[in-house]
Amino acid sequence: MDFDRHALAQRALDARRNAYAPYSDYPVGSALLTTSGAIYTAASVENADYPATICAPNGAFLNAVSEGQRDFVALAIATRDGDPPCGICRQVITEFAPNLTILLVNESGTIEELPFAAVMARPFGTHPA
Amino acid sequence: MIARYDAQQLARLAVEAAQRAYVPYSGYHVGAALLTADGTIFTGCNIENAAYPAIICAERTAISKAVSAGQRDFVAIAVCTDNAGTPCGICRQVINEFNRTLSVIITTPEQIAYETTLDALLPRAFGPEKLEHK
Repeated sequence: MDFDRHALAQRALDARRNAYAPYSDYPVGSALLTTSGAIYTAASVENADYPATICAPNGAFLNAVSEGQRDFVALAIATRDGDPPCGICRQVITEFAPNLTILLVNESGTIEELPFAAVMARPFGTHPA
Repeated sequence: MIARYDAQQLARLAVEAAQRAYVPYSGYHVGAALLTADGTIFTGCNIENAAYPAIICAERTAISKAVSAGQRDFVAIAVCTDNAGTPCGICRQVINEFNRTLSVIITTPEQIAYETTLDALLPRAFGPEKLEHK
């Protein structure tokens, strides 16, 4: 399914502005595109109890799945330097979208596109041995 | 760091640890054995909870025990499951914090399935260097 990379990246950059990151000073925004064309966004939301922090990609999946969406095309993640998702988010992606297209977006809007499989080998969950 | 280790011994300890798993919900037993640079081995099992987010995996149990005991230099980890399952994303993230190239032995109760490394399982990991801007 083709989609507008720059539009999805921009939604992630917009979401990043809502990040609550007083502890890490590492704001993250994410935008998740469904096969129906809907886009769900989220920002990283930290907490004084660090484990209660929710990452932006994870938040985008929570938003989408809570609204009945389970078919996903692409996920844009906006950080200062265009960094990859953490292992927790990779596990969440594994559950719902092992074939997802990932867009890593830096704060200048530069996009790096890669298949999810490039950052999660032999995932636990979808591919039993 | 390249260190010699006895994969069979680590795997055997992981198999034993899996027998101690508390898994009333999934029935999925996991055991881990973590070797430190000084030769100490810490084992762990998965410990489930009625509130699923409170569950901790075997790998993180072993790492938590090791770090709590003052150990941070790890050489290898063996992980035992019935179906040669791999560490989940959370455990990969936690391992990456301490050793991005840790040797990982995947085993079943019967035999070692294969050996790999953390960086092979979690390419381009999100690590501590990403927060060094502070």
